[in-house]
Amino acid sequence: MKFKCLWYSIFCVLLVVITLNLVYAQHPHLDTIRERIETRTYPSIFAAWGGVGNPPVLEPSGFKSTSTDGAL
Amino acid sequence: MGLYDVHWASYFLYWAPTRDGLDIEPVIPVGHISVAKNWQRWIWHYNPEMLFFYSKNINSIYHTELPVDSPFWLRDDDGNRVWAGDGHYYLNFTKPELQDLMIKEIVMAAESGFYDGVHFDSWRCCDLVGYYDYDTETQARTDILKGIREQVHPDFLIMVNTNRDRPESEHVPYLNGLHMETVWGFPPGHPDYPYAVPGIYQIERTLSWAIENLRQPIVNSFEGFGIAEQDFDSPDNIRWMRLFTTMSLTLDNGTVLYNKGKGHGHSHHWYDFWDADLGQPIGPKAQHYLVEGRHRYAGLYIREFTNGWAVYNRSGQPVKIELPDIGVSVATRKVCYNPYSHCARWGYLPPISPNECCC
Repeated sequence: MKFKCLWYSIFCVLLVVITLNLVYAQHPHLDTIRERIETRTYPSIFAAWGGVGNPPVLEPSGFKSTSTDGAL
Repeated sequence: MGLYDVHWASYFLYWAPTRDGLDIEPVIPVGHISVAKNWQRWIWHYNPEMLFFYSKNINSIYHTELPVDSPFWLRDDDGNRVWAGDGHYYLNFTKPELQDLMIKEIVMAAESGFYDGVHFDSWRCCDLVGYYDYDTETQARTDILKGIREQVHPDFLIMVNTNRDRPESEHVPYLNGLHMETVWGFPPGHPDYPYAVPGIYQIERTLSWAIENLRQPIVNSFEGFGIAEQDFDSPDNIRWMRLFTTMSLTLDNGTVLYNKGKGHGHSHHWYDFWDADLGQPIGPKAQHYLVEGRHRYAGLYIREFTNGWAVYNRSGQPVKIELPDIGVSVATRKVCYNPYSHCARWGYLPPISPNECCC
């Protein structure tokens, strides 16, 4: 029974990976580094998610400020 | 995450430790690098302009990442490792063997196809002071940059964190961008709370220099530090956020961030000011705005974009900006009519204040 669950889990993981490949592999994106830089729109914001080995953490997600003035 | 144009992170890619304490085979806990690439393609779907940097610090590493008796540690006269703080010890990157490993690591990251560039943190002379002289340390850093550049794609991006300073001239030909981590009180012992006028001048000069003198394609990452003691949307933080954002927009073609301040790393809030869709720049960088068509104020810049204008004003006095067309202020949502439709003001908060719009 344990092995059955294990194989079933592996199968599910593989299925997700293959599906992601099929769905997203053909999505349009700009291939070259220069293209991505030159077509960038502004303001352009960067993010640093920590050093090697640290997975990305989005904090705090989608939070909006209440700024009321500006120079744009 | 799709809102950001530049990311520094490993993104699920880990370096597997070996018995020697070093291994430069990129692996991930589960799966293969193709998993990370799938994720990357997915996120590109939301923002196809996104760039990914591998983050690296050559100066020091966490104490468990190398054996205690490794020859790669920097050692004092007694043979002890040199403490770098926060669980880290300094590395002796003047050793050619260590340089070769570092170069190989970055080249492998480049060849993985996941990363568009490398971001070197703490790229400043002289971390090895007292152990090696300026020339030796500078040459070591040059050798690492040269070794990487010789083996990676010509457009592979190399960015270094020099805080507020220019990099050493020897390094300039290899660099595509600066990470300007403009921390307060930099250099240490020189309090700059929050940012004194000379500090702002220095930041402006370095930013303007970088966009003109580094290797193409250039991507700078310009980071202002927030006032941690205040809420992220306090009037001061809002003004400083706008100052750094508009400074980046008018003097540079790079990316910008305003973080939560000391003790918070790079964590930040997403300001709705950044939701403005300015499009692409069509005006020149560092263009002074002439008040009433003839008065030039130091520290007053304007730049036209396809969808609007950005104004940076640290002149110390309120000024009226005349736009050639009707505009809507991003922040006030007020319609600005020509002439003298847009008023930007700066200078009423000591010791320096970001611009404020009052159209």
